[in-house]
Amino acid sequence: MDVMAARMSILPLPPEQAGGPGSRAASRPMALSALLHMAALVPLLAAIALIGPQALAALPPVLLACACLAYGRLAAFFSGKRGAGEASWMAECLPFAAYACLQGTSLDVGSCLVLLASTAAMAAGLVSLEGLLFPRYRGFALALGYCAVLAGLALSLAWTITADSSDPGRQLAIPAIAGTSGLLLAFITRYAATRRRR
Amino acid sequence: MMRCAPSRKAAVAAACALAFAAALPIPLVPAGTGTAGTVLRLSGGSFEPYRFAHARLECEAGIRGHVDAVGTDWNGGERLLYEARYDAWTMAIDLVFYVDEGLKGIEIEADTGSGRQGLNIDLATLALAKAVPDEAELDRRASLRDLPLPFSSPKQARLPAAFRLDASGLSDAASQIAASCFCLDPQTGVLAVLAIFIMSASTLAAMWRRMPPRASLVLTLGLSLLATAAVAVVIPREPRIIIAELPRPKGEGPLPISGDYALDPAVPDGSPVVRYSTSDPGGLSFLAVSTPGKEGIPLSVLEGREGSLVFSSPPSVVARSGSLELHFERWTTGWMSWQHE
Repeated sequence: MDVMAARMSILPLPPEQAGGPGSRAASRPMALSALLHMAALVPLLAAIALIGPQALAALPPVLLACACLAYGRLAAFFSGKRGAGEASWMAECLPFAAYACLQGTSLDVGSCLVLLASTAAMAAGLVSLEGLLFPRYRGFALALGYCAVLAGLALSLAWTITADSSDPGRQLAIPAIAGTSGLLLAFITRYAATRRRR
Repeated sequence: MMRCAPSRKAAVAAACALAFAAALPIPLVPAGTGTAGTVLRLSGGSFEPYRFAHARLECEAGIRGHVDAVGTDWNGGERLLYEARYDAWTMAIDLVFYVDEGLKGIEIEADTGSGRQGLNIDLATLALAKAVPDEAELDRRASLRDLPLPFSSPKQARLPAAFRLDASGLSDAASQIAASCFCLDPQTGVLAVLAIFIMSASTLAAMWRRMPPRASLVLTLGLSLLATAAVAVVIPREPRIIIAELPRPKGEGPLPISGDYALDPAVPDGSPVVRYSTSDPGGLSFLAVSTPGKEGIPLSVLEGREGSLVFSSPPSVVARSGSLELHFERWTTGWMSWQHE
């Protein structure tokens, strides 16, 4: 079965088609793989550079980070990666998220990085949850659903932080709680997935 | 960027109400808390709108710790006016904050020897205790109130060494100056870091594809964290204030304003102040401020000429390591007016 057809029909995939060592991606020449990877990351950098600081400043840093991570999730979908491959793609988007956040916000670097880490932890928790709930399924709807849930979490986090801007403690305490919850979710779902495999 | 002050009608109405109320015999008693001898007392300070007010805060029990002053606007909004931290005991400290016509009251709080103390100042009541402003003062306030504050639109470009201004009025002049010299340096360093990261990540992803996914993830995450740290270090976060003096008007009314501007060579490289001077300055300067981080602009930059100032978003004064800094919103425009000696 063709890989794209399998994605669209949300059917379970054999492991060799799931981006693993024996997959079609692994048989590509190394230079072509590197070029394709580069071609996926360059548009993200170009978009952030072209949007400019003024437009970026209009959005909360958490939402900017979420947008970059969602881009990574979609790139993982189009390159046929699941699980650790998804997380790798999203991790690669972190420096771009930092660039977008620091360019727009007037927050100090430390606070900005805390927000970024919280969003990344929430995204990691969601990836693990997705891996637990849909271990062998893939599809564009699943990727979009993931992005929508992450955006919803980021929006609610941004709203909670700015709801009472007079309290500076909220700026760090709430993202820290959200990030810790994301990490806990990641660990619990990984543990549950391991137990289920046994 | 929205201006925080209330509408002009509200400000004029408030000024008229103050003028009428000036005849009423209301005593001035700033509200303080605490027992006798431990209350905060404020002395000095002219509290004239569109200037920085310097006042002295005293407490016999001593002050040490966090001190802040929060202003309440006529429209009910609150804004930080002054913030400082004192690590040693002192009986008196000097407060500096920016006052404009939108400010209705000030609430000062300080950590003292007898706990956290507060002091409320009603600027309207304070104004009543003083003489009614004369015609010149009212003219000064009206002219500052009417100055146009354009929507600032910084672009990523190098600062021009010179530019020509041909404006039909003050509003046009402000827009032209902002468009010409309100620039943020191109972020070549960050772009270079990210370009190197893209090449490294792509090469390594191609090399690591035969590795176990978990090991590949750990290596990718490490590389990404390294690149994120490099972005945070390299990205420019220094504040910048651009000051361009307008040429002297040739007559009355909204006449065309034109002149050649050149970057002032006296300002050293790396300074947050960028000055553009013209051959015949007329006592009015346009300001554009960019503060991408938590660092502020030294207060001395704007207080040097003891002029009047108006901002699209009022700044707060923060005392940090012995010096006073002005903290603005991300991008702010303003005007500075002063009389020639």
